[in-house]
Amino acid sequence: MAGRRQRDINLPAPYLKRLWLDRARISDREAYPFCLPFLGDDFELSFERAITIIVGENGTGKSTLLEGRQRLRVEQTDHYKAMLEFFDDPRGLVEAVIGE
Amino acid sequence: MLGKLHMARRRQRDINLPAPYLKRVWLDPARVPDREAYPFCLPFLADDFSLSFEQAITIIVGENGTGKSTLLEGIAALAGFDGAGGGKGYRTVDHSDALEVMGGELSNALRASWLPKITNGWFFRAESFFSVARYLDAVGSQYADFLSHSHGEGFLRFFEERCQRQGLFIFDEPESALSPSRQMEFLKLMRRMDEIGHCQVVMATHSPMLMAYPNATLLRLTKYGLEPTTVEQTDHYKTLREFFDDPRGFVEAALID
Repeated sequence: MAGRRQRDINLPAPYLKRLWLDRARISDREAYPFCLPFLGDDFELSFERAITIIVGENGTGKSTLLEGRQRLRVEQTDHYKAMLEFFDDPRGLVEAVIGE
Repeated sequence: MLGKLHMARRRQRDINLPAPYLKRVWLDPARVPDREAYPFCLPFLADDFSLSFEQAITIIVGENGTGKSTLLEGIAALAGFDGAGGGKGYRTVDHSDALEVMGGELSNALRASWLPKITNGWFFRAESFFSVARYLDAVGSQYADFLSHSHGEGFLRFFEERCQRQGLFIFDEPESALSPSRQMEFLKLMRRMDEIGHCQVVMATHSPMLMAYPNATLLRLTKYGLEPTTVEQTDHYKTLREFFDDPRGFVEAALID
């Protein structure tokens, strides 16, 4: 038992390798959270490195379950683009936003 | 009869006064039980600590650990709000006693001037939003179905409705629930609250985008107290600006440190 515990500890992260949806266990496809668009029948998420970072707009269900199918570079995220626009002209952007 | 009329007229007059309603808070050193104990050992809480509210919206920035949250909790407790988030008379389900105790401790030594004293409002902290939402759900409030929304969406809708009433709205780092595009929605909400004239906002934030709201008093909290600043002068702005100049270079350099 002790030897086995030792061996487990020496394996490197990630330990959680993959998550997927078991549609047989879904009670109601129409009800939250199963109605979330990203939760298709074939939903799965593989963890390939020790650190996995998930980005997404509010309302995509990040906090409900993790979505991560599209591999991105930071420069490709809406978060980055919006903040880049802000730093380009902070006051101008804010004026444009609240002036609408 | 005459008395009643007088009261009614007086209430009406009060309601028509524009924000800010909370005019000033200051420390009463005589009421500090122990200078060495938290929160009174916080460096900014000198004997002459005073904070004046000059516009409807006051934004406080400062490094982690300077005591921003404790200050907001103290103000919330003064207003009669639950220190863990929520409005007067709303107690969150799983509120943290520790937080409430700190805000309460501080509020016991704070004095406030109001014109007029208002009791409606809300203390918002991102981490307690779900417990507030759960509570509203439990008591069958009309604001109840926020749990089926993500943090950001739910709370923007919630405040849209809340700001229709006169009140003091205290926000502690609202951006933690909001993506940049939702922060833009939040800027619009600030503008509506500002224009409506009967909402006072006191907000702590790390988000340069929210700090850049034009018609607000921006204050920096340091160990020396509060001082006026501009978004461009904040460390938050400078650091992120450096990041956006060269994201990968910035991160590489930060990791080597």
